[in-house]
Amino acid sequence: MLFPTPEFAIFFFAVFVAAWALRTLDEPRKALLLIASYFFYGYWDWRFTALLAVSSAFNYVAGLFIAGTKGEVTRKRIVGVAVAANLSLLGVFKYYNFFMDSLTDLTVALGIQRDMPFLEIILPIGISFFTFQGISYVVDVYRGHIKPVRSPLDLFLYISFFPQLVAGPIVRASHFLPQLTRRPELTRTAVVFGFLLILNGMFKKVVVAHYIAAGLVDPAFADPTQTSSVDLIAAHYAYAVQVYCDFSAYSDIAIGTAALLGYRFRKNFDRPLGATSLAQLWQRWHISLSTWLRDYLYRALRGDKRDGGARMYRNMFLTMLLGGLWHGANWTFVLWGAIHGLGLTVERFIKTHGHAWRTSRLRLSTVGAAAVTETATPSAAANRTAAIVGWLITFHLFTLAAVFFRSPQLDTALRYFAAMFSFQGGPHLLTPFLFALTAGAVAVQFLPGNKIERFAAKAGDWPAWTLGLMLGAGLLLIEMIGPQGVAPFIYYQF
Amino acid sequence: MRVPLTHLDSLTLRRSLAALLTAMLVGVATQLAFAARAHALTVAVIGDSVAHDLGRGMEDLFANNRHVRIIRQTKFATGLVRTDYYDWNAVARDFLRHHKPDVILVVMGGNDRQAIRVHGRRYDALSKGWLADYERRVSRFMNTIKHKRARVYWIGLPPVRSDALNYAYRIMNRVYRREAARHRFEYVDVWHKFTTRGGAYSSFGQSLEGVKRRIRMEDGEHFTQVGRLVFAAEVAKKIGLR
Amino acid sequence: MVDESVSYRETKTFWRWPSRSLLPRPAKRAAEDARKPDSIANVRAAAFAMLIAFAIFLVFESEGLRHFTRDLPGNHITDVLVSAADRWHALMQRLGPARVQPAVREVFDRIREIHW
Repeated sequence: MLFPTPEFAIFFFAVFVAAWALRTLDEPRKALLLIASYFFYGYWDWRFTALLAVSSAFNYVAGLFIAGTKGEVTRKRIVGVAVAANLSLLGVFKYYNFFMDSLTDLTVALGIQRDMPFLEIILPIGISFFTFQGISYVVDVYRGHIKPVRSPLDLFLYISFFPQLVAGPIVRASHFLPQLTRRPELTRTAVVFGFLLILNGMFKKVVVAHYIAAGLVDPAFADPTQTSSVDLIAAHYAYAVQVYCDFSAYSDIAIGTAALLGYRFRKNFDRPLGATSLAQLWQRWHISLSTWLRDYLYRALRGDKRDGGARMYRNMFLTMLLGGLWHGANWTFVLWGAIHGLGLTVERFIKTHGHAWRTSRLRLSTVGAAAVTETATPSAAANRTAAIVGWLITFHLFTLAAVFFRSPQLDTALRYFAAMFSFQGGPHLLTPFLFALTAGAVAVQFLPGNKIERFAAKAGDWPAWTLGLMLGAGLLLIEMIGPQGVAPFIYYQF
Repeated sequence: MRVPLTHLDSLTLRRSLAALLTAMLVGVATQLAFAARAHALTVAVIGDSVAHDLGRGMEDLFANNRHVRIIRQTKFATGLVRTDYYDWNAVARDFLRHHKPDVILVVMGGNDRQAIRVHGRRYDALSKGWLADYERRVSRFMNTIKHKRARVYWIGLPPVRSDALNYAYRIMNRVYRREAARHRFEYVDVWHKFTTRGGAYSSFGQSLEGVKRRIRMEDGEHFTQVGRLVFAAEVAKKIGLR
Repeated sequence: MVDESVSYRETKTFWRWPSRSLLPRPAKRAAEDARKPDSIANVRAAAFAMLIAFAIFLVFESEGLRHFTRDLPGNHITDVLVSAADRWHALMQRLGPARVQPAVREVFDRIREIHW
């Protein structure tokens, strides 16, 4: 079931009441949450609950085997097999037909007409997320970061917990499993925090992302050659805002509902559109994915060797390339990942060698007797200018790369750029309302990152009826100005 | 079941040949009629999300053809049953009054397999009472979109992954075909274009390049970009636009 | 003698790698709720707040309730719900709350449709 629907609201209220009623009974409470999670997943397609169960059982057994094996070589083999099995599941369901399609492109380009053996495979929703959680669990057990869980209930619940099951955040076993062993508590701050995140997520998804998409982005990308340059320029900024609002909205609602059930998830988006460098952007954008890629993919590529030089840049580039592929079975996602990978490696190269160059200049300037006494720090104005320039470069790199992310095919993106940089025509799709939504969403990125937490702490003393009014009035207003019907979140397709 | 030619009697053979010749003549006449226009032919695509896919496909197919202009009036998750949610009669009336197209393509019904509630009574989908009321709704909508100047084509629902929906769609397509004949519209059957040789649903099919591609999306209902072109090309061929 | 511990930030160059945010550092996070949480009281408060939110929806979104009941699978129970939702919507229209949504929507649509 989709988050912003009456069905989910009724479902969540029932689960909330029942779970807290069982607060002092640990196993029954976790069993209830597990059943609720499988019900939630089965609502999409009951056939995939079996897949989810098999994946969970496999990772549970693998964790026990890894921990119970003494020899390092054998342990390494077991974790290798476990990771390969998880990736194979993902590969078959998500990428098999994509590779067949790519082979078709290749054969057609070579002038060969040949039908590839496509398979009628249905992509299980959320597979990218729960397989990554399974991998994170077995690898963390192997590395000794966590002990394997003895209770299958805990492991099954970790992998299938409904707030984050279908579109993240990718929750780490080391962060979530210890919470399952403790009795949950609910502070008033957590209640307000949960409500505020739900409201924030609903507004971003139902109002901002929807109207930007429907009014500007979708028409512009549908036929860029028939759209004015002003609209195309606006739409490419707006798409970055749309994708941020859509992705982060799901995370907000997931984190908010988990908070109401007494579980803390980490922040998944931290004002990424305000980043002043690509490295900073990836520390703020889809944090659970970028840290997963760093800890499991980048580290695997690096191995035990010391990080540095061409090898480091290669590993960084490959990590981003595969991160792009994770987003979808399409070469445009791979290209998007490659752009970010290239950008990060260039940025890192400049940063590292810029530092070395400045340090060497400093040494040269002290040849002779005179010691360097000039240690003046850059002025605040210089810092501010540098940050603004950094933001402009980073923001535009992100928005331009996002055109590939949005385009179903490469030639769509190229046609988009060609039309955008033709600088012809005035605004037609872009209205003051859409401009305000886009600009407003970017401006909000520069507010303090903990404003919701601070407000929640202040509002912790509010009486329940006030909280109810805030929640009800907020959701009502969003419902009134939102569209009829609900579009699924973009991340559902991953 | 295929019947060998030798088993067909001469009357059946003559009737089949006559039908084939008529269809060919109608197709040629339609093409000539379309080609003879001095101004661009305005083709309106009306309906639900499947109509949206058809419309997008038509736009791509005729992107470089200045003789054909495609306009769309589509809305996801709508149909003729849930008038509480969206009133297609009112919307279509306004749309056609404003745009005055030459050709109208309608795809509707994908969301109609649900109970009809009328005057406090509920008719379960595909029940006798439901079918009778649904026919009336289809007829009413066809009266709404009937235009002196426009040729109207009602496109049958394509198959989907769900067997239950396919069963319903076959029945509903029969309703559309009957009502289209009564209203002197042309009914366009696209069902077999999107099935395997055995008649089962398939997410894959021959693209316009002649190779096998994914033409239906992961949801088993909507069309990929390639699929939209295939859908549009099939409809355009059957109505004589191509 | 050169102090080789001088970092690159302390050079007198105009250009430096922009690693800071455009705004000053945000204030420290508010301290965690220091009182031992009375979870049951907070659960009751949260549940009560959610019920109030449901009630607000029932009153002002009676049309949405009509749609929702009609989306449910058809059986005798949902027949009763549909009929109740229709009567409730008619009552809310007479009393006025059901007219708020179209009014708000109209204002919002007018703002949305403003062109340059």
